Amino acid sequence: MKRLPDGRVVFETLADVPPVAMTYASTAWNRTGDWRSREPAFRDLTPPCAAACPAGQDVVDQIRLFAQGRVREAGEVILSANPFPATTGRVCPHPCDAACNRGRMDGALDIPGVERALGDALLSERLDLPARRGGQARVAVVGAGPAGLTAAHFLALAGHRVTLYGREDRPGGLLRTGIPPYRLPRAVLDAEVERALRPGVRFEGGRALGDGLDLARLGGESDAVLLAIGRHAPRRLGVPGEEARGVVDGLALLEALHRGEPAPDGDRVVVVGGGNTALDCARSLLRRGRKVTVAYRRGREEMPAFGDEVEEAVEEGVAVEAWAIPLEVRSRGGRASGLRLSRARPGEKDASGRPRPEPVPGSDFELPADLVVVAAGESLDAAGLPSGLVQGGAVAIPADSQIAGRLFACGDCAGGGGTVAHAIGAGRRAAAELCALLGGDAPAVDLLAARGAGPAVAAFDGIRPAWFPPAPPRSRGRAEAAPRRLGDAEVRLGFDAPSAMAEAARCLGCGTCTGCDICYQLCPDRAVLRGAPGGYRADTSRCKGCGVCAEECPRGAVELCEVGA
Amino acid sequence: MASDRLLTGNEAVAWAVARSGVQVVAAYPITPQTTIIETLASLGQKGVSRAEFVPVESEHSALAACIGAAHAGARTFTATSGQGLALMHELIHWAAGARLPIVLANVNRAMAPGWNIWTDQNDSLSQRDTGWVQLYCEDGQEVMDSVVQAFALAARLSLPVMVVLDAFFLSHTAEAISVPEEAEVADLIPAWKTPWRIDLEKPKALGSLVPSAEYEQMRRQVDAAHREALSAIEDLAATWRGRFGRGVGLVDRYRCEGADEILVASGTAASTARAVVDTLRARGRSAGLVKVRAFRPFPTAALRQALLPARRVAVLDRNCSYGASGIFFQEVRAALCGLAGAPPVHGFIAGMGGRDITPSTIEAALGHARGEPRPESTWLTE
Repeated sequence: MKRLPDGRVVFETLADVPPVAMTYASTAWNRTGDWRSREPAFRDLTPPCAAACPAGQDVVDQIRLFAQGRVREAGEVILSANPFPATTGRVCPHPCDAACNRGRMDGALDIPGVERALGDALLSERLDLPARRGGQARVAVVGAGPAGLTAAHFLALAGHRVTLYGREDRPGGLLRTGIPPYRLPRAVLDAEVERALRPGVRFEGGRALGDGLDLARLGGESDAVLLAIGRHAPRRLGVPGEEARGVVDGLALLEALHRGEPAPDGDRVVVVGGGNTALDCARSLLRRGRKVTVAYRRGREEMPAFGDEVEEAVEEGVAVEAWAIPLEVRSRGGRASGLRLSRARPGEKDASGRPRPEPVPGSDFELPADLVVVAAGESLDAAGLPSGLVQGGAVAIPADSQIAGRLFACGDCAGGGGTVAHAIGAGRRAAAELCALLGGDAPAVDLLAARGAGPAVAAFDGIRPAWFPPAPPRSRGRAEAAPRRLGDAEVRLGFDAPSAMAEAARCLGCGTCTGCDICYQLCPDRAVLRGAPGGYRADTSRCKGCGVCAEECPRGAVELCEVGA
Repeated sequence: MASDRLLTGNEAVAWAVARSGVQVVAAYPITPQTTIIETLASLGQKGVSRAEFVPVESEHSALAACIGAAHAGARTFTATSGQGLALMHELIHWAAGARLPIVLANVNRAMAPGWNIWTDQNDSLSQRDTGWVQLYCEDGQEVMDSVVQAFALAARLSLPVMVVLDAFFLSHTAEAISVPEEAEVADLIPAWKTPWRIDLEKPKALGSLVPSAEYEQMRRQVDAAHREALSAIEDLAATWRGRFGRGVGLVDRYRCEGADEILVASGTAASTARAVVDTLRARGRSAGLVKVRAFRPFPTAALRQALLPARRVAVLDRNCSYGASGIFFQEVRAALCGLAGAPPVHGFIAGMGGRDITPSTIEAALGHARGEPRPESTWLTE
């Protein structure tokens, strides 16, 4: 018996051959990988939740770290995309939740519940992102809502000298004036806004374009100007009689209530509209003892308000009059006395995919109302904006403007998607854009790409549910409906930290390597190697391309590819 | 001291497994085998058996688990029947090629379709060429003794051993059976220590790629181990007789002295054939019986010695190699082929799917054997 330098053993006579195939020598000489025509690619995909997130959060990574109790690390991930997680955990409609692949198993992850608990924990931890620095430009951000705040925050983190101008005395914009405290407690909002300003944002309140703030002068004083003024000009109802006393604008009503002013007179209220502003008005007035009906021209399912809000409003006693088109405000002695409406039925679908409301002839009816709240949507308030900057109801910076290249716009005023999360995403992208111009360490625009995940979305058919023990979602519930009508206490309950972490642990981690070792353990050729950046790699001198790793990866984070493809 | 117990054939298997000091049992239930593992579970609960039971989802996995346990040096047992044995087939080869001392009790069951849970030998004979030792049992006592001896043989030869018993006639029929104490048989079963036993102190790779010449050499060694088994079975039988006063080795020759016509049978049919021999002897006919206990290794020399003096041989098969003939018939005829003065060999097929083989069936076979021998077996279906 002879041993070759490469470890092989050669039998000199057949008498040396053992009864069974066995060797004490290494079998490394047998490069089984030479046979392969396919090999695994260990690559992360974009999880469906992250793909759906308007703020561009790396949902899976932040949830994974939180589930492991690594609160501060989870915080760094979430804050690098969204400075307001305790806020969005409460007010975002969470399209991520609808996209969650676990919804096709035993129930989608309660991402809002987890985000809210993580956000709250970060406030107790007083976690701040480390400053990135490098910038030193003077930047003016006009508008202190979620878009402006987010942009100012990331610009200040990058080292720029940022002044944030707000119409109200305190920063927050619509978060403060438009979202009632029973949905977003003021202490939470204050703490998150304070943290957003902490990197050195100078706030100047009571300054609005056309009201003490001149855009040209601002341009002269700054290296760049970012407009994030939102949309808060009321849309009129456009029916006869709406000039009567007792017809008010919804957003203005919420702003007044926020400032602590009394609600306008009127015991019987009809709120016109089906968006969040309409529901917020209805529920705020309900909490002040009024009898409230929401009239909406389409069906309850078509309301643009978040489903939870509609459900909670109805629970509290708000009446909903769906498929009802306002025709006329009736008044007595110059004061509203009722709203005449026409019954509607669903017609052809419009561009939004919702059925257009068609009036039913002869079906007019009247709702008695001594207060009519119009919440039929908001538009851009163009006051103080040069006319050349407004196009199609949104701010658009023309290429040939005098300050082009140094004037930017983001958020709702620039035609953003309308949710807080959209505004946050827009603010961060704007900050990155400004840093590209002015220098300074920009925030990551695409967090998934930054950690090497590809743009393809991890679909359910790539998930292997058998690897995940059944674990139905936890329920958080809401406060009792009756006491809710008596005050501003928060309606939606939150998780305590252990429940939130347990719920977070239900995350499948779609398309994301978690280092679970299943590929490593199941590889029949021990050709999956640990410790590569991002998790694993194939030892191509051993891998036969059988595909067990790709087939069995619980999260669809391994793909079998043609060699050389 | 050994004690007598009223046991079915399946219970005898379980007691024998317990008395052999088995450490790992992995099995999947299938009628008519199931009461073997049920009895083993019960014996385990009572502390009679110390075997760890590994529940599995199929017979393929059962044998795979046994292969792993055996490689690690555990004394290992499994039991199955019919379709279950067929499902094990790939690993039946593996167990022999890896030279592992696994013992398997197969309760003969007819192969489906049509579904039939009764006895015939086509399931075990389909595993003929896998390298396993096969011992066929005639009665409950032989089941008890063969299972214990199987562990002794397996460990000595590094070969897996299949103990075969007829469904219901044997598996579910109770007899008084002498059960030895563990101490009475422990010395017969050596510890299995081979270089290919897994040893954490001495890591090795098993089952790897082997070039043709070396592969052929390994297969030759399996064949050589079977030749060794011929004498090992006889030696063990002799020791057993010395210790317990009963039992046979490769074959049992019953009233063959001066016999003109000799029946060859296996399994419980051999018991019926004994009764027929007694009846014919009483009538003055010189009939005898050769029971084949060891089918692999095939006892060519013992059969030649037993059958050459006869004037004719009638082989009874509870099986059929379709398109050829009864399988024992083929092999007996081959054993005598070319020998000067060898008697003609007649083949008969009876009792498939558990059909009764009665004394008159066997007498009919001997009647046919007075005629010219045919190349194929005669079906005794009337």
